[in-house]
Parts: sequence; C-alpha cells; structure tokens
Amino acid sequence: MSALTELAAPDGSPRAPVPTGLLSLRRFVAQRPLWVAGVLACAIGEALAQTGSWLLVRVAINNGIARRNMATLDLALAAFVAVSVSGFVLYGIMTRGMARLGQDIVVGLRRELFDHLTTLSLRYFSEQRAGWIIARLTSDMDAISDVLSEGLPTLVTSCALLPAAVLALIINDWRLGLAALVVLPPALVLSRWFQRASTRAQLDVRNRIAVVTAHVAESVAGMVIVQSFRRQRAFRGRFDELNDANRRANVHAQRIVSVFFPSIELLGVISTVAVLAVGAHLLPSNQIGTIAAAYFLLSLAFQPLQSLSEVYSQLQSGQAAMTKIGSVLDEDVEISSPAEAIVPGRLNGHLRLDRVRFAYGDHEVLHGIDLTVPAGSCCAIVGESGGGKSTLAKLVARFYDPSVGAVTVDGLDLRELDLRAYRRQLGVVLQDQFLFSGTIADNVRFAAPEASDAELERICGLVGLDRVAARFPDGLRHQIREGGSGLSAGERQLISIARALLADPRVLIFDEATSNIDRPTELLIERALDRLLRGRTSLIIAHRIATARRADQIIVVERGTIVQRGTERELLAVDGPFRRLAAAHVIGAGPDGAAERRGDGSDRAAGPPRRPDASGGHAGAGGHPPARHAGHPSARGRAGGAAGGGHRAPSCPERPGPLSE
Amino acid sequence: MIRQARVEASHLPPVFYLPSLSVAVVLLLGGRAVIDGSLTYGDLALFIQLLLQIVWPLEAMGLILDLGQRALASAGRAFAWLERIPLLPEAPAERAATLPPDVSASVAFDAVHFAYPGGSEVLCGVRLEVEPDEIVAVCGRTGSGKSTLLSLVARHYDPTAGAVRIAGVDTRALALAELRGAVSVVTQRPVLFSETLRANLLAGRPDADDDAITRALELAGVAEFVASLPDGLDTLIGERGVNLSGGQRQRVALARALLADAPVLILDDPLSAVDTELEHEIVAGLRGGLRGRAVLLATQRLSTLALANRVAVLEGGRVVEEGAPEALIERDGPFAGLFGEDAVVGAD
Repeated sequence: MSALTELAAPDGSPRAPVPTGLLSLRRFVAQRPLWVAGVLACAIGEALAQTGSWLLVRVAINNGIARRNMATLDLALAAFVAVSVSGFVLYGIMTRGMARLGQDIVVGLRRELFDHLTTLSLRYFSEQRAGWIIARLTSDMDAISDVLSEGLPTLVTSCALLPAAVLALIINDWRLGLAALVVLPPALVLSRWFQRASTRAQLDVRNRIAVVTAHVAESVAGMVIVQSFRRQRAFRGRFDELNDANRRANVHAQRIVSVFFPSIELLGVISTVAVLAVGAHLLPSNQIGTIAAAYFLLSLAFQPLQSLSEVYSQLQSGQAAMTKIGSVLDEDVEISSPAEAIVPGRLNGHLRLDRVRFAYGDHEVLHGIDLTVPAGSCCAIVGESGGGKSTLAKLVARFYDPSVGAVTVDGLDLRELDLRAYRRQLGVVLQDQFLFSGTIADNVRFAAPEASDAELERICGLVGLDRVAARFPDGLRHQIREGGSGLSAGERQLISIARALLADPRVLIFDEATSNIDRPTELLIERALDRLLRGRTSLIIAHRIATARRADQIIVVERGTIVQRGTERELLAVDGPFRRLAAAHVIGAGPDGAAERRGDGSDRAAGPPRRPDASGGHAGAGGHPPARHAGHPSARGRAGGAAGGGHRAPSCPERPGPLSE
Repeated sequence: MIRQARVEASHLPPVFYLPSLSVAVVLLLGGRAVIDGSLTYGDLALFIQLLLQIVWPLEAMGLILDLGQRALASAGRAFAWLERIPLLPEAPAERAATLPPDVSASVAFDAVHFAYPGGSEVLCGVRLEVEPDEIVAVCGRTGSGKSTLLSLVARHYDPTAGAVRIAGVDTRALALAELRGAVSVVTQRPVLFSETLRANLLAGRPDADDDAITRALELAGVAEFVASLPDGLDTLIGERGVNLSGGQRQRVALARALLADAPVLILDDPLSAVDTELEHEIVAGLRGGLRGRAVLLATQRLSTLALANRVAVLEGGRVVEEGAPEALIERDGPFAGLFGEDAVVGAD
C-alpha cells in the first residue's frame, strides 16, 4: 500500500498529503471536527459507491447475463442504481460541506491576519512596504481560497477514489488488478516530473504577468510625465518586451501540459490492453463481467492521478501564499499591554522622557533624550527634518518602545500601562493624516464613535470645519474619497484636528503640516490649534516659528539629541541653533536672489512699524537682532490679526484647565 | 464563492451519474438482448464504452460554453472601453504648424474656458501672457484652477473655448511631439519611474551628458543627495530600489524638467515638500537657471513665489489681479488677502 499513500501525496512525501505551509490551517479544521468528519465520511462513502457500483455490474454480467438469469440481472442493476444514487447524494453533501468549510477558513484566516496587523508595531510598517502587506491580504488570500474551494475538494475526492479503485480492482480479480497496475510506476514518475516542471512554469507565468501589471500600473500613474516627456514609444517598447516574455512563459507551461496528459492517456490504454489480454487468457468466458469491471475500474484509478496533477500547482501556490501569510502572523507583536497592565484613570498628563534612546534596526536615531513636559503644558519640538522629531513623538504615542530608557506619564512607564486605555487619552494629529472613505463627519467621529450629532457639529464649528464643509453641497455629510483626495492638505489637517478635539484626549501630539496650505485655511488651523491645546499636555512638532511660539518650552532636536531648550525669548536671546532656524525662515533672507530683486535688506527695517503691536510683545523683547526677527513672516502674530478677532495665543492658553469648552 | 461551489455541486453530479444510470439501462436492455442472443458481448461492451465517452464532451461542453460566455463579456467590456476613450485630436503631420526655430517662446491664454467632463466650468475666460524670460506665478485658493490652467499648456487637456498659444501658435495646431518637446513639466505630485536616476533624468533630453545632468541637479538642489547615493546616478529608484522622500522626488522631477531645456517650463507647486531653508537656496539659484525661458508657476508658498516677476491671482475661474508681487501687496486686494501678513513681509 505504500505506493498508494505515495500516490495520494502529490509532493511525493509519504505522510504529507498537503504541503506544510497549508498544514498551519489545521487549527481551523480542528475547530470543526464534526464537520470535517462528516465531509470525509461522505468523500469515502462516495468513492466506495463509485467503485462498488462497478462490482455490481460484474455481478449483473457474470451472474445475470452469462447465466441467463433475468432476476439476478434485475436485482443487481437495481442495486447498481441505488448505490449510484446514494453516491450522488453523498457527493452533493460533500461539495457543499467543503465549500462552507473552505470559506469559513478563508474568512477566519483573513480576520486573524487583519487583527494581527492592527496590533503590530509601526516599526513593522516602516520596514515593510504597504503593497507587500496588502498582497498578503488579497492575492495570497485568493490563492488560499482557490486551494480551499477547488483544490481541496479535488484532493479529498481523489485521495479517496484512488485507493478505493485499486482496492476494488484487487477484489474484482487480483491477477487482473496486478496487470492493470503494471503501468503505475511509470505513471508515478511521469506525474512527479509534471508536478515539478509545471510548478516552475506556473511560477514563471505568475511572475511575468506581475511584471506586466506593475509596468501598466506605473505607466498609468505617471501618464502625465510619460506624455509630457514623449516617452510613449520607450514605454510601449518595454511593454511589448514584457508581454512577449509573458507569452513565452505561457506557451512553455502549455507545452508541459500537452506532453503530460496524452502520456497518461497512453499509459491508460496500455493498461487496458494488459487487462484485456490477461483477462482473455486467464478467465473463462462466463467471467466476462470481471473483465468489464476491471476495465471500468481502471479508468477510476487513472482519473485521480490526472486530477491530483492538475491541482498540484494550485497547492504549490497556496503553499507559497500560506508561507508568506505565516511570516506576517509570526511577526512578534512588539507593542502590547503587559499581562497585568495598569489601567490608568483620567491622566494628568505629566510626561517624562528619561534618557531615551531609540534605534531603527542598527541605526540609532535618538541618543539619550531627557525631557519633562509638566501636565497641561505645551512643548514644541523644532529642528531640521531627519533629526528625530517624529520619532520622539512616536515614542510618546507608544508606536514604538525606546530601546533604552523610559517614557512615563504621571510617573507610570508607558510599557506598564494598558495600551488601549492610554491611547484613548492620547490624541494624534499627523502632518498628513490619513482619511478614510466616508463622510467628513464619519472621519471626525473616528476616534469617538459614540459622540452625538450636536456635539460633532459644535466641535466642527469650533475648529471652523463647518466653513470648509460649506464648500460642498452635502456639508459635513460630504463623501470623501479614500486618502482624502479632493480636499487640500490644510483641510485634511482641520478634519484631523476636529477628530482629536472630539475625542478629548489628555495628551496631544501635533505634527504641523509643512506644505501646500493656503493662507485662509492656515489661519483656521492656527485658531483650531489654540482650541485643541487648551488644557492638555501637548507635544508639537513645529515647522513655523509662529507655531513654536505657542509653546511653554521649545526644544531643538538635531541629530537625535536635544541641542537647545528654553522659551522662545531665551532661545532667541542666544546665538544658537534656534536663532539660525528662525532666521532661515525669513522671507527674502535667502543667500541672495530674493533680497536682490526686492531691494536690499534695508527695506526690512520698515517692517515692524507697519505692524502695530505684535503678538504679546515678543518681537521687540530680548537681545535678538530686530531686523532678522522682524523679517520673519510669523513674527506678527498671525493668529491674532488675520483671523479677525480670534484670541491671540502667544503660548498655550489657560492651563491646566477643565475640558469644559 | 459558496454559491459557485453549490452550483457546481448540484450540476456536476448528474452529469457524473448520468452515465452510471444509463449504463444500468443499457445493461438491463442489452443484457436481455444478449441472453436472447440478438446481441454479442462485444456489441454490449462497445455500446457501454461509447456511452462513457460521451460523458467528457457533455461535461466539458457546459464548462467551455460558460468560459466562452465570460470571455465574450470581458472582451465586450474591453472593446467598449477602448472605443469610449476620447483621443486627443492631433493635427496631421503634413498640416501641423511648427514653432519658430529660436529657443524662446511665449505662452498666451486667450479667453480660455475649461470644464472637466460633467463638471461645472473651472476656468471662465482666463487671459494671461508669459513672455520669454519671464516667470509668472499663478496664485489662488485650493480648487481655484491653478493646476488645471497649467495642464492646458502641454495639452493634457484642451480648453473648451478660447485658445492656448505658444509663440503665437495655437497648441492644437502643433504636432503633439513638437508641443511637448517645447514644454517641460513638473507636476504637483512628482512622478518618477522605477528605473535608474539617470534614466529618469534623461527623459526629456536623452542625449544630455553628465555635466548637464549635474548642473540640473545642482540647480534643483539635489546634487548633494545624488552624490551621496552609493551608485550615484545609476541608483535604481522606486519600488525595487531606493525610496526617495517627497522633497527629494520633487527636486529630481525639477532637475528632469530643467535638463529638458525646453523654452516653456510649467512648474506646479514644485517645491511644496521641500524644507523652507533648502527652498530658499534653490529659489535663489533657480532664477539664473530659468533665464530665457517662459515659466508658469503655481504655488501656495510665498517663499516659492519669490521666484516670480509677475503674479496672477485666479479666483472664480478668472484672473482677478495681476502685477508685480510688491505692487499687489500694497493694493490690499485678493493677493494680499491670500497671503495675509506674509504678504507684508514679502514686500520687505
């Protein structure tokens, strides 16, 4: 029987009918033992019915026709019909059960994968491309689904049918059976060759079509540039090349198929001839039914051989898909709540970073950060891009854990806190916050789904989002497309401010948008930000000095360390990195061009007088060079004047106050 | 999927078992005939065999008909799609106008109207001219039609009324290749392809030498970065290569457009993702690099605006204000409204 088990195993390893990656799906199967047992029983019953019916044909011929016994003939045929019909019923039950089981597994696996993804540390997402992860949830899941809905039923029926047919052949007449099975060894060798060659060929085909698709996707996405730079011909040439490679791969794959299946047929014919020849010599003429039965059973033995070869490449790709999905599932959840997590009550929000170091892989980006942000106060982080500002903020949000040192809130290490409870009191407004498809209102409500409509509208009014929404006929019910295209960066940021405000967090992280914001929207954002900061501990990554001015303390982060800290006044008073940064923002103070065209620097002195009373008298104060500071676009308290009566907020207003606004 | 499986489950077995049942009938009737002596065993076996051979075609026929139907439906969709795509009408080669051979060219929008298909009018009668050796910035709120206006120059769209002229020639009269050779574009979202940096840069001028490339990279403020790459210009970028940041992509795209050395340059917010500090350096160097060309620039940033000789403010699909930035600020009109107190600073 070892030959049989081997046949049942398409990859040739005796006790592994399904490749190992797919075996990890066992746990889903194990959850439904009765289902599985039922389905398997049906499959075996169906295989026995199919093969057994031909033994009844033998009876009908040998005992009925050959002995001229009509009653036996009728009886045997009645039994044949009964057995066939019950086989038919069993087959129906089995395929339905299998479809259910397969789809249950797919849904379960997809859910498990998605759940797992949402718990993974951001480190994983920064190291892994989004496309790669999405492919696991889509094309790989499809491959598994194919295996389960098509491959698995074929696998099960074939695995049941083959031994049953061989068994029936032996029972029918062992000598005829042996004659029939003479071709089995070459058939096995041939199948093995086919499985290997066709897997390789299929893989090649898939890779080639993937490259074609990628090329199309890139061309479509970059069509403006393809056309503008007249690169149509070059792109078409490359496309033809890739397409042709794909065609060749397909032809090769088909050639393998066209060799294998006729060869198996030929072996079937040889086997038939052997059965007939042996039968004619060995059996008396009244045993003609035995020969007939052997003849028909033979085809039942060859049929699974072909089916198994057909599903083999499908199993292989399912296997590959499962291995990749498994690599995601095996990824450690770095950031999680400890077993006995502290569930904090309402936080005061006293933040502390204690000698914090952090590395992405081997590359350390923060080298010992010490920082205290008292409850309710506001700390601005400034510095050139790539200095580690966002990483620092992400540690506070516990998107990462520090490699050395600790981040604490109210004296509690973040790693000891219940992650969900902490994040519920944490608000994050990113530079370009991701918006989900849905209405503007849905997106605002994202962090506080239970908020009432009235509350929602109040918040939107507070941040001025109602004015933005007025641009659309549906107002706040305007459907935004995924990613928020159709809205400007500034409008997207307003939405995320409203989102954070509605969630009413205790600790806030705000990453100021750098680009593409028109002035009126910028003013709205500044006002909204003042609202948002009130009464919360906040960490702002500031790109403009006007924003930094809101803070109680400013830290300058460069190359992973805090190089300067203090209030705006203190920092501007000394010649240091902050002053350099502030000066760099001055319009027209670029090395030459702008100043040259707009007249010389002397003009700048004319700035301050035109601006009566700046923001809280910051401008004139301190020993910093007035010309430089005055030239700064935001030195004039943007929030105050242009917002038309909005409150002026040189620093975080009203703290630490109740959140009763 | 379940439904499909169920359909198969209820359809296939009858086909499977039909032969079994007909075998029963054949045996029943044929068996009697053999007993009668009117039929031989051989005839009976032949009959059964032929019967079984009918099975596969029966099974396959349904399957193939189904496949064929699906293929026909897909092909129908594909062809319908191909037919629906409007082609950009191009002047036939023999009748196409040509641009004057000198390297400079002006751009003129002559009462240009434009509406996206099915949408309301975005531009309603824009008049604007850009002389050779002039940098004109287009400002306006988000959605005011800046990008749309810019996209008309290289004929990414055609105006619904009015005309866009380059060196006095209607763009629609020019061969597309000639037009696009004369206009170099930096799009709002920089597009680079998954190939080497060099291949990307050479898109507009395949014969440029390394010196020219380096000069363009320097003007775009990205030379230092490229030099820091392990393979320099031969670094593979994109999906399978080095991932560039938004600002780096923008600067490479700018370098590509500069390298093309076209008389008309369209810059759609080309430095929006670049650090302010770096932006100042680039802007300062760029003015010299743009000399002699007609440049149309859209931007939200005052700092990028510093490049322009003249500003046109778009509002409600029209140019509502036009002039030197310094003059516009004094006027306290729409431009001053757009840039708030920043504008005051800009006048320093």
